[in-house]
Amino acid sequence: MEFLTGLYETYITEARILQLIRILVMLAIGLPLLFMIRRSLARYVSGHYNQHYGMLAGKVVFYTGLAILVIMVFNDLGFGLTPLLGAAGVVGIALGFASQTSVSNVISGIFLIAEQSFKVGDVISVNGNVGVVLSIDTLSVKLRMFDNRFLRVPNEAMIKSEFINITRFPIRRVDCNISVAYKEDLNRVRELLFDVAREIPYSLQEPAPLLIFDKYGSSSIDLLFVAWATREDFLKLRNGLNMGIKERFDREGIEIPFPHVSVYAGSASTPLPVELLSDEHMASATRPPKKTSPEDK
Amino acid sequence: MNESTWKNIHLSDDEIASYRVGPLTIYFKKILNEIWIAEYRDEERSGDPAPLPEEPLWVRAALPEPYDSFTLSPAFPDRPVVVDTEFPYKIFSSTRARAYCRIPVFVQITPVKNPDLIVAEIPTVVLSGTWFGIFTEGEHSYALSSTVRRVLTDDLFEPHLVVCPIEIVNSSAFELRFEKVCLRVTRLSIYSKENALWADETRINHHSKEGHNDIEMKGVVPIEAKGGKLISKPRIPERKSFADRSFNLLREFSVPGF
Repeated sequence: MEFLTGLYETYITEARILQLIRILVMLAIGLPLLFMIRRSLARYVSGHYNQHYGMLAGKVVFYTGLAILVIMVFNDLGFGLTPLLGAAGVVGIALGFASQTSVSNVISGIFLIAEQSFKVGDVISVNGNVGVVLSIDTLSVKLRMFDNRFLRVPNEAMIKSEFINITRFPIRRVDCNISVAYKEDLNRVRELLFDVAREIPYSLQEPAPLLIFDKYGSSSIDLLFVAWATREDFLKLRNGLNMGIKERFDREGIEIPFPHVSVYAGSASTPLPVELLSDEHMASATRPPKKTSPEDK
Repeated sequence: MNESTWKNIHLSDDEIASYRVGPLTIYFKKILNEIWIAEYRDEERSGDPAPLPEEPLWVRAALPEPYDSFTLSPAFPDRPVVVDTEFPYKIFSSTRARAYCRIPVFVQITPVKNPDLIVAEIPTVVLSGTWFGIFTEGEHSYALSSTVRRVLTDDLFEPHLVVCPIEIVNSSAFELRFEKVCLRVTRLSIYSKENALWADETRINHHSKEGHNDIEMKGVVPIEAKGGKLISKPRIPERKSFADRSFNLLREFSVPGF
């Protein structure tokens, strides 16, 4: 009992209680203040510049503030900065060996942010997964995929893999692969295609649409028609072009052929004779044969 | 265009009013504090408003108050306008050229009692989009089918078109060749004089081979329309002059991203 009383008198002094209150006040004011500053700054920068810089500014201020707060608390507890840093070094080495993957992700995250290959709000494609970048965090990049699934890609994987930033540049090209029958007048087809593009408000006049003769296909002449839209209007133009072309070709009687096969019987020039049967013939030809019973034999 | 073309309209409850400017007819209907607006375009350039289409596409807006009167005023398009020169154009060093182009206006609808509240902006002509710049950067603009003219004639003036005078000065040591001019119309005012709408003069001073130019909006009525009355302020009132790209040669897009 005396031992406990001694301990109490030694450690729970008035100065110690005051110190504890001071630290609690520091944390109680400092932490909410930091959260508030982070949110306000992120909102301000996002509004004036973009979401990516907003997120970055918020994080920089928050983690710097948090470090200052921790140093202040330790300082108040009587720990100097020098031994703290020394201890942090030792702990850092130990943690580094224990958590190589996490450290690699943190460093990769720094490179991703510095390289600026994509920003928050960009649409990127990673290993075939397409989504909007929600955040570039310490360990991973978070995406919202277009079917509303959440995708988390570790920063290290992002650094190592190829990805496509779909919305990096302000305009995008829409490619339409079109096949027309050999009998069609290609100048007429060309005229119709440009007309369809002209009628769609999302199709930009410059860069101008372009028709490229692709190849003589096995059943058709294959063409590539390209037009440009702003990245926001890309899907509208793609749908508009493809639907417009089909509708226009149908109206103008331009044939979009399906694969044909011509069968020849021995001779290169004489096709295999084909006889067209009437419906009755067809019905009897396709009727299943009657089953024969043993009595019939 | 008469100044009276841009007038106030008065609406009564459940009554459809119509208004024509150039090829555009606008229909209005007022129900309590709501305004209903529909639009229709035809080939006519003037005359009576077109009859209400059988199935008009109404756009409804609830207003802070049940306003009865609305002001219709012309406004420039909300994006830059790229105008074709018809043929490649060349201006030699230390040479200037004055040209004119006509830009279709938007009809801006505001309550008379609350002129800061823009209820709707309707283009008199639906302009197609274009890109002014390169593949990696540039400006989403409107493309104009009418071309830049050197001489003004009476037939150029139409009720829904603003005439924009452009003074191009080639101060560089090289000849300036271009096929398209980009006009930052969001910084221009509109003036009215007699039967015409005018914009303040744009002066483009070309002084380097790299393509950047000093663009100056004069901010005053052009000499051709001296005594004209200001009827519409610029969308972006700040900065009367700035440096940007104004000319484009088609060959910049001759490699279409392949």
